[in-house]
Amino acid sequence: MTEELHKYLKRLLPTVEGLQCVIISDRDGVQLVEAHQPDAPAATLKPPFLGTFSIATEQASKLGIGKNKAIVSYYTCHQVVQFNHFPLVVTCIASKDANTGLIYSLEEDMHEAISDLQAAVNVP
Amino acid sequence: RDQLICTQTRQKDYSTDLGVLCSYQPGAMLKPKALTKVLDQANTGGIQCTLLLNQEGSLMAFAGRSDKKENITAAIAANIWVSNEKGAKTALGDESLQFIVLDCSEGKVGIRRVANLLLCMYAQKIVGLGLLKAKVEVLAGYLEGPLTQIATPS
Repeated sequence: MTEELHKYLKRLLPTVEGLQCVIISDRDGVQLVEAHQPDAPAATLKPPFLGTFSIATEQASKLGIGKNKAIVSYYTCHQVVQFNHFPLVVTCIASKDANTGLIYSLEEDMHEAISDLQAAVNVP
Repeated sequence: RDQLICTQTRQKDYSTDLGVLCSYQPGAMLKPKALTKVLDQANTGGIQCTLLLNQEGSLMAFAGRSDKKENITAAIAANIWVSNEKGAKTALGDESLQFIVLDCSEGKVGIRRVANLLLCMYAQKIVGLGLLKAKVEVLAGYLEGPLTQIATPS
């Protein structure tokens, strides 16, 4: 399953110009599946960076505007779009000029794949 | 923008009043009412409230309609900003955090740094992400000058 998912994510990367990597991880930032371009920043593929989302999304859900679905962070040269699919986190890292709306639309494209993975990791 | 700042021209010695030796130096100060009015100008078209807070999470100014506790909101928003900023320092090196959008089921929040403060804007879920970002950027650009004048060095 992970091999198929890896190939699927690899096919997704060129669909958005500037998209450098797509990572599916757990809440602690441990990777389950990932695909990245050679120019992706290596440290962003590691748990210390990916794991910060779970704290942020938990706090964002306490703002009084419902459950947090996604966090978009814009940095000097990159943008990071992270989606909350408890217990999974989908992280998309792209250059700052990449189309954020197109990256957002990837969530819908990946919905089926993420649902299958969620079902596999969820303890009944 | 000059209306946001007032400058004291008189120097006053408070040593007899306070019992300790101190004196008030002329300098620039923010006009709170004018600041609130400026923040309130963004509260149209689905934007519910606009907050100005420091990076410790203390609320500096607030404008708009909100049934949530604004000081708690400010603390949470600042905490999210600081944790994302720290995460980026380890992973992205010299890059600095410019903007955060929190997309929740019942609304969106945009957070941006202005001088040494944070500008935070709450929007209803119908507001597009791009419009929220544009409004925050425009307001931040407007406030950058006056807030930089009174910014305390960190």
